[in-house]
Amino acid sequence: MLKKPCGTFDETYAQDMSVIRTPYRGGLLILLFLFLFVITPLIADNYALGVMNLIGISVIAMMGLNILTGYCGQISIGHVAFIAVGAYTSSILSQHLGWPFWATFPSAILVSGLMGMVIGLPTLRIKGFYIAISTLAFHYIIVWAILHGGDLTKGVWGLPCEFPELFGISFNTEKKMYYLIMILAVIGTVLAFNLVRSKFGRGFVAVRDNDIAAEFMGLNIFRLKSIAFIICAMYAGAAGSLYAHYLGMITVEQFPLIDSIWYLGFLIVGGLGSISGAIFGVVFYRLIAQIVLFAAPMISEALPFLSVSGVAGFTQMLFGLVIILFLVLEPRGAIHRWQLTLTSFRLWPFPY
Amino acid sequence: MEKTSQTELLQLKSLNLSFGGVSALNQIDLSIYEGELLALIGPNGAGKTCLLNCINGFYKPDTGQIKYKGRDITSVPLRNRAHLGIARVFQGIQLYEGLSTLDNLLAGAHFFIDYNILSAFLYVGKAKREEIRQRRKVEEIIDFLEIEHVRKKRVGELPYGLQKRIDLGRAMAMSPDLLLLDEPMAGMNLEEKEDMARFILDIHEEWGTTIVLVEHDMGVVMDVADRLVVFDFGQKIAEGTPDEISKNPKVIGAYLGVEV
Ligand SMILES: Nc1ncnc2c1ncn2[C@@H]1O[C@H](COP(=O)(O)OP(=O)(O)O)[C@@H](O)[C@H]1O
Ligand SMILES: [Mg+2]
Repeated sequence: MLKKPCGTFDETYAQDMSVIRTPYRGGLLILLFLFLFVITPLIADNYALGVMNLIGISVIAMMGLNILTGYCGQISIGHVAFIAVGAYTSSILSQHLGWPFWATFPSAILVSGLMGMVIGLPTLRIKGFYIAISTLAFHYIIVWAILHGGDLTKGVWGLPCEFPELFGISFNTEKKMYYLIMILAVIGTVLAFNLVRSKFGRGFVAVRDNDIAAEFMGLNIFRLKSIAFIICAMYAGAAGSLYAHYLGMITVEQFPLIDSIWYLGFLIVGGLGSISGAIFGVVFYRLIAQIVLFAAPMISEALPFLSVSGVAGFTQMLFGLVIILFLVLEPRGAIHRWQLTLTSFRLWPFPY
Repeated sequence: MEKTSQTELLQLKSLNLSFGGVSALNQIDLSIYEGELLALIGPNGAGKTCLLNCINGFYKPDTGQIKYKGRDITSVPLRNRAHLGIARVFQGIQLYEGLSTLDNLLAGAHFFIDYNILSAFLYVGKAKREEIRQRRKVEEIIDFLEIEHVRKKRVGELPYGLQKRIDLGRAMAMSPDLLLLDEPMAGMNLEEKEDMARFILDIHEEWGTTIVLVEHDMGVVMDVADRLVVFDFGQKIAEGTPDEISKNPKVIGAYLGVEV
């Protein structure tokens, strides 16, 4: 969270707790709003909008992982599986039952949340590394279920999914989807922001930083962990649902295990346990992929001895490299570095 | 200093606790009276921390009974004892280091803050009212402990002495009836020790909180305690006022002779 510049004092606690505590913050929010809802739709072409749409969906997914891993300290490598649950729930309801988006979307959130509750249950007994392994097992269970789902999931062939339709508007273009995705991403972010500054957010960090002390203080560790698991899964479900309705077609290959690892990696890159860090991580993640996409043809032209698949592997390699660099140089994430810069700037010219 | 009542807040009856043959607590009988500041002293490994852990419910005694406010709480789990008003400051630092000072204290008051997850997501109405109400209470503690200047700092970045004070603040935020302090002054310099002793005395006098203080520094203990209990090898070897204890030959042999 941003600190106030020196010399600014708060009149009341309500004021101190409000989001827009300084003109700087208010200005930043207005700029962000203008960028998202005025400038981008005006100047971006379909390609750029497509990138933004993927970023928006990933932001929603990342909000959930940040609550579970960043705040509550429970490592999940099953995040993509929860996204798949949301995507398949939506597609199945849309395809087989003809449900509209306004019904499939909350259903996907609900189903994913229920799975999160079940997967979170073993956390009563196990900790840390073992939870990570149980979420890994969950990933393979979901993949197996999709492949063997018969007519319901159409196995390897994948399922089509209708474009969202709300209030008589069909969201059948990149630009229309862009508005829908960004509005939902903003709502998801605001909700997450509220949650983490509430007693639940403090409880999550208490569990993460010192679960024994937390129990001495009367916190219900198991309940807090379960809540974090459920919320994380619900965010993933929402992201999955949007993803399916946006793409119009989903297959099991769109949910590879490695993406769960990248989500975790870029959460660390952005800054664990920070909302803006999580957003930064996602943007970074998607932008690197784009840069490689542009650079790949040039690289294979310049270095013809590299095969096409070798160049394609660059993305993954670069992801790995970026994560390692951050782990070594700034393990607390880019957002921490940014705040340090900001703090020194605000105290200028009197850095006491 | 005669504000100590004769009502027992906590009664320990023949507590026994052992770890694989090593007896950490041996037939402990002890009463703690409402409003008193009881000091628990004894050499390292005497079983002081174990006793506090039994009172907190972190350890379950092998045999014996714990009565709190007249009720048998021997099998009440750790978490629920916090709700009954038993708070703890640990030996060493056990804060939530990723949270700010303010949030550490608010996390101490966690179970007083009453709103559900839906209002937390929206952060309006009840959630906001409850947060402001608790904030007011916690700010009083922050003023009291003179930690205003680090209110919004991550506690992990603060010096040891301040962290210890925040640890005390977090326990105070639980509005305890019984405050268990495990060597709160260990590792501090003289000035920090004096500050801490002053805070403990002030809590005792202004809030009327019953306090059990485990401490090595005999000088401090003799000054602040209403009553002392001396432990050695898991046994209670003496009990009495500071005056009585300092004259007790058993204590001088077991403890004072070595330490002072
Ligand atoms: N969890 C444990 N497992 C095994 N032995 C323990 C444990 N906790 C304490 N002990 C032993 O119990 C005895 C009393 O320890 P403790 O209460 O920590 O002493 P102190 O009076 O210094 O606080 C020591 O011999 C210690 O080694
Ligand atoms: Mg001890």
